[in-house]
Amino acid sequence: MLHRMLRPGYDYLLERKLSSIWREISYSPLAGDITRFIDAAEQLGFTERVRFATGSQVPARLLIQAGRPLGELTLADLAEFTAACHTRHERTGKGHHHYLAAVSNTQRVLFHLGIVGELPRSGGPVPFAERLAGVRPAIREPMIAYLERKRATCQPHTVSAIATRLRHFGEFLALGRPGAGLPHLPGPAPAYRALPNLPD
Amino acid sequence: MQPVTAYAPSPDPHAAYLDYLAATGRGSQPYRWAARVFFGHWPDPQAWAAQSLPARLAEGRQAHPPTDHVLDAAPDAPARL
Repeated sequence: MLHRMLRPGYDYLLERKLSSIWREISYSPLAGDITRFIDAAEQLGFTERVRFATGSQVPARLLIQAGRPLGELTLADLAEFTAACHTRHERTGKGHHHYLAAVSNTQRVLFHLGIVGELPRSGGPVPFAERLAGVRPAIREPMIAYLERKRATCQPHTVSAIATRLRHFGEFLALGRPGAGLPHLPGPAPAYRALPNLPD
Repeated sequence: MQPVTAYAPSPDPHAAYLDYLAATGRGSQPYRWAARVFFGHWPDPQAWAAQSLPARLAEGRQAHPPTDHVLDAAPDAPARL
């Protein structure tokens, strides 16, 4: 696989440990690309352990499966690899956090090499639009606008807590079919059932 | 500077793998047996790559060295010098 003949699929590549890669790499056409990646990671300050762990976990698999040189890798390749990690996790239950961390490191190195145009999103609060992705757009937009205004007068943690409650409420509303009213719950009808149906 | 080995891949994946082992001074009888079994089942490795995941994994760990090396026969792979 180290010589660009086969593209066995990310499902297979994720089931295999490419532990022999560092022994075989000097004989492989991938050697130049991997060396370029490792050198760039070193310049960015990644430790040796992280450089070599990342190099064998993600770039090697990307180069094998994509069949293109390092300079032609794209964000879509990274997204495909990430999706394969999620699929493997759902299929086997095996953790994939180390792969996702390696994908983030890979994207950072590729960005500094000028190969991809975006840095990975690193830590920090998840954007409201992403947190409220399960809420219908007609409700999500005013919710986001409300949260943005709350930022002016409340602590970030307070606004985040409000966002969590709004997300649960918005997702609850999204459970109801359009035009069928609010979801039915056992017990007495709460006051909010008097609300009109909200548009999609 | 690592030592370099003059090596031109054979068009036959099995022969190329055996040449590779010989050229790099590595390999053992189990390696050669595993290669004979794998390339006996899959003379065209592309056919193996097209199998389902369970079928690809069913070849077992002994097939890892030849599968890792099977791209040696890539038509566009440069000769390793």
